[in-house]
Amino acid sequence: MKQLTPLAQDYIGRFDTALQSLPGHDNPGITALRKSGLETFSKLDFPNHRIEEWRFTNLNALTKGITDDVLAEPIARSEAFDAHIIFTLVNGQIDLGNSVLDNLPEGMRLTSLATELAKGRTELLETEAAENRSVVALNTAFMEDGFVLELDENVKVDAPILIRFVSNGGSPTNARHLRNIVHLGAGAEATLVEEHVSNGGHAYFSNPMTKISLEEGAKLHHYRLQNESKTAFHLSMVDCDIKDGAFYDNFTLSLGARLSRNEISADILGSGATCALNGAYLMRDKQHCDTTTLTRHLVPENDSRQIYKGVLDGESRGIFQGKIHIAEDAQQVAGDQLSKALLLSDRATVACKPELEIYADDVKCSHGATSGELDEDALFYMQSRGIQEDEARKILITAFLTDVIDEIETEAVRTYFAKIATDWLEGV
Amino acid sequence: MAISQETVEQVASVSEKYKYGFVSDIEADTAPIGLNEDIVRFISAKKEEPEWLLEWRLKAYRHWLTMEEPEWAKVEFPKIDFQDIYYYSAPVQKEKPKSLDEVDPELLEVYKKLGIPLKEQEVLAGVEGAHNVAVDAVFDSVSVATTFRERLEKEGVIFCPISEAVQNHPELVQKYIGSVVPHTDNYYAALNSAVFTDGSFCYIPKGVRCPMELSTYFRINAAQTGQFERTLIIADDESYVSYLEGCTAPMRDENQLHAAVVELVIHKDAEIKYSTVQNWYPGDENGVGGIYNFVTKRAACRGENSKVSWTQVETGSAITWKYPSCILQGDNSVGEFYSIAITNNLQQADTGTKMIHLGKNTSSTIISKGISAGRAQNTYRGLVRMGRKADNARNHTVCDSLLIGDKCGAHTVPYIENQSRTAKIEHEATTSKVSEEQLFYCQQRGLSEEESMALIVNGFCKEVLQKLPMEFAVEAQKLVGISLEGSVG
Repeated sequence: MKQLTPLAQDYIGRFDTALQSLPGHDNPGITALRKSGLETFSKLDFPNHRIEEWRFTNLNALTKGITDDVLAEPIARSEAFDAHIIFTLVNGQIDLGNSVLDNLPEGMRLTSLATELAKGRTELLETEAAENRSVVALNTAFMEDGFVLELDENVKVDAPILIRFVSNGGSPTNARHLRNIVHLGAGAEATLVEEHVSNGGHAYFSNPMTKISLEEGAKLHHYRLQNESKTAFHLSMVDCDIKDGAFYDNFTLSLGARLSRNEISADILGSGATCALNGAYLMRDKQHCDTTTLTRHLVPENDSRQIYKGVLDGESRGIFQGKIHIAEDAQQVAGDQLSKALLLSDRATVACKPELEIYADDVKCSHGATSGELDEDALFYMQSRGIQEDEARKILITAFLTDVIDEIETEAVRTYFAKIATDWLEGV
Repeated sequence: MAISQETVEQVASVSEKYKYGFVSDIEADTAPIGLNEDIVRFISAKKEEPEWLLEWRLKAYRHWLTMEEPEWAKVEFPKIDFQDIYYYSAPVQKEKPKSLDEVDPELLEVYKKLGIPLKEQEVLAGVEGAHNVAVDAVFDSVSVATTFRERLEKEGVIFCPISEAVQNHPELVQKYIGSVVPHTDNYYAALNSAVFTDGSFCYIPKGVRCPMELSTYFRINAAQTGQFERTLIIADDESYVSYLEGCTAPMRDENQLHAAVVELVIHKDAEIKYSTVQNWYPGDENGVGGIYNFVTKRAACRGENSKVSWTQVETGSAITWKYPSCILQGDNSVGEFYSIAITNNLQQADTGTKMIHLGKNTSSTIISKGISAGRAQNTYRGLVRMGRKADNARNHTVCDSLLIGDKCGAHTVPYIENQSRTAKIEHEATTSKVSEEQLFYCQQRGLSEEESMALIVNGFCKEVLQKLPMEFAVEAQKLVGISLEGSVG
C-alpha cells in the first residue's frame, strides 16, 4: 500500500479524539456516518493528478501540511453586502453576535447544523450516498458546523439572505470543514448570498460542502463570493438536486485563496427544470483556481446552461472542467456551455476540459471554449481615439466580465459583484 | 443513360453489407502462439534483422511487461489475452518474388477482390487522367508486393516494406524509428515496438515532390493473429508526399488485435498528407467479432514551415482507439486533422487528435465529425496544448456529433491547455440528431429512408470528405452509406 500524504495521516490520527467534540458525537447514527467517511477517505487519500477529475489541480502544497505563514500585506476589503438576514460563521463556528436572525419570515428556518444535530435531526444527513469523492468523505468525517436553511412550501423570501464565512488566525487545526444544507419546499423561492472571506492573511484550509434540494417549482438564486486569504486553500463543493419545474442558478466569483476549487454537481431530476451555472475568476500572482462542474440530465425535457469567464494575470493558473451528462431516454434536453479565459501575462496559464457525455438522441447540446489575450485591434482602436492603453485594457476586461456578471438576476448582488471586479482590476 | 446506371450502382452499393469479409485460403507460416522474448527473437530472426534492432525490440518488450493497459478511454471490452495471439503470420513464399508475376496468384486475387490494383499498368478505373498510385500491400504480417518502385527510385523516393528498409537503408531506419513514438510511449506502442512485423517505409529526399500517391493496403487474413505494422515516413526539406492507407479483414467471430504505429517526420518546408480509410471488420450486428484497432499515429513537424495533414474516415473496427497527433515544433508549422468516425450496431470508437504547439506562429485545425447509430458509442477525445514559447499560435477546433437512434451515445472530451498569452484557441462542439424534416423532405422527393439518411450524413461529413484524395473520396462516400445500413426504420 502506498504511503498516505502527511495531512491525511494527521487527519486519520486525530479522528478518534476529534470525534468526542464534533457535533452529534452522542448520536450513534452520526458517528457511524463519520466513521464511514473516514474509512473512505483513508482508502482514497487526498486526490492526486492521476485521478481524472483532478488532473489539473495539484494538492501537494496542502497535503504536505499547512504552515501558518501570515501574509504581510493586509487584504483589501470591499464594503460589506447589505442584508437583513445574516448568518455568520467564524472559523467554522456560528457567531450569533454578528448574525441577524430575529426577523425571519414565517415558514423559513435558518439555523446551524450543530444545533440541529444536537436536537437529533439526523435526517438532515440521510441523503448521504456512498461517496467516492475523497474530499467529500473527509468533510463527512470532520464536519463541524454550517448553516441549515429550510423553506416551507410556497414561502417566498425576496430579500437576499447573507451567509458569511469568516476565517482568521487562532483556530488550532487551521481547517474548517463546513456542511451546509438547503431545502426549498415546492414553490418556495430564495436568494442566497455566500461570502467566504478572511480577516488577515492567515493560511488555513476551508472545506465547505453544501447540499441543496429543490422541490417542485422551487427557485433558488445562489450567489457566492470566494475571497479567502491569499495563503488559504479553498475546496468547496455544491451538490444540488433539482426537481420538476425547479430553477437553480449559481454564480461564483472567485478572487481569493492560493489554491481554490469550486466544484458543483447538479442533478436535474424533473422535467421543465432549469440549471444555470455561471461564474468568473480573477487571479493573479501564483493563484490557482479550478472550476469543475457536472450537470446531469437524468430525465427528459429540461435544460442547463453555463458561462464561465476567467481573467488571469501574473503567474496564475485557471482551470475549467465542465461536464454535461445526458442519460439514456432523457430526450428533449438542451445543454449549453461556454468557457472563456483571458491571459494578461506571459506566465499565466489556463487549462480547459469541456465535456459532453450524451446517451439520448433528441437533444441539442453545445459547448465552446476560447482562450487568448486581449484583442489587439480593439486596443489599438481605443488608443487611436485617445484612450490611454491602461484605461483601454480595463474597459475591455470589464466588458469581457460584464457579459457573465449580467447573468446575475438580483440587482443588488450584480452591482456588488461588479464593484468587486472593478476593484480587482485596479490592481492590474 | 450513364447517369442512371451510376445511380443504380450507387444505390446498390449503399445497401451492401461488409463486402470484404471473405477468407482466403493461403498457406501461412506462423510463429508459435503467445508472447515471450523468444517470439521477439523469432520475429527478428525471420526478418534477418541487425543486432541493434533486436536489442530495441527486447528493450520495448521488457518495458511493455512493466506497463498496464490504459483504461481511460470510453470503450469496454473483455481483457485481451496476449498469450492467445499469433504474433507472426506470413503467406508462404518459396522465394522472394522478383516481379509481380511471381507473386502467388491467390494473393493477387485477394487484392483484386478488394479492388486494389497491384498490376502496375492498371490505372484507377473510371477516373480520366487519374495519376498512378504506388501500392504496398501488407498481408497479415508481411508486405507482399510494392508497385511502381522503379519509377519512384528514379526520383530518389524510397518506398518499400520497412523490413527491406532495415536491410537496405539501415542508417535511415535507425535514425528515425522510435524518434516520434518512443518504445516507452504507451502500452500498445510498446507492444508494437517489440513485435512489429512489417509496414511501409517511405523517404522523400530533399526538394522532391513525390510523383504519385503512395498507398499501403493492409489485410488481416489468418485467424487468431494480431497485426502489428509499423509505418515510417520521412519528408526531407522542401518535399511533398500524399500517402493513403486502407484496411480490411475477414468476418470472424473472434476479436482480432491490430496495434499499429505510424511515425511521420517532416523537415523544413516539407509536407505530408496522410489519408486513412479504415474499414476493418466491425463485427456483426450483435457485436460478435470485429477488430480491435489500437493505433498510435504521430507526426513531428521538425522544420520551419512544415505541414502535416491527417484525414481519416473511420467506419470499421469493433473498437477504435486512435489519436493521430501533431507535434508542431518548427516555427510556422501547420497541423491539420480531419476526421469522420462512424459507429453503428455495437461499435465503439474513442478517437481524436493531439495538437502540441511548441514553435512560434504554429497553427492547427481540427474538424471532427462523429456519427453514432444503433447501440454504438462514439467519443471525440482531443488535446490542444500551447507551449510557453508558442507565440502567436492558433488553433481552431470544431467537433460535431450526430446521433441516429435513441440507444447510441456521442461524447466529446477535449483538453485545452494554454501557456502562451499570445496564443489563440477556439473550440466549439455541437451534438444533435438528424431532423425529421430533413428526412421527410428527401423522402418526399423519392429517396428511401436509408438513402435519405446516407445523403444527409454525407452532407454532414462533406467538409472532411473534400479533404480526401479523389480516389478515396468516392470510396469513402459509399462507405458512409454502408456503415449506417440498418440504422433507420
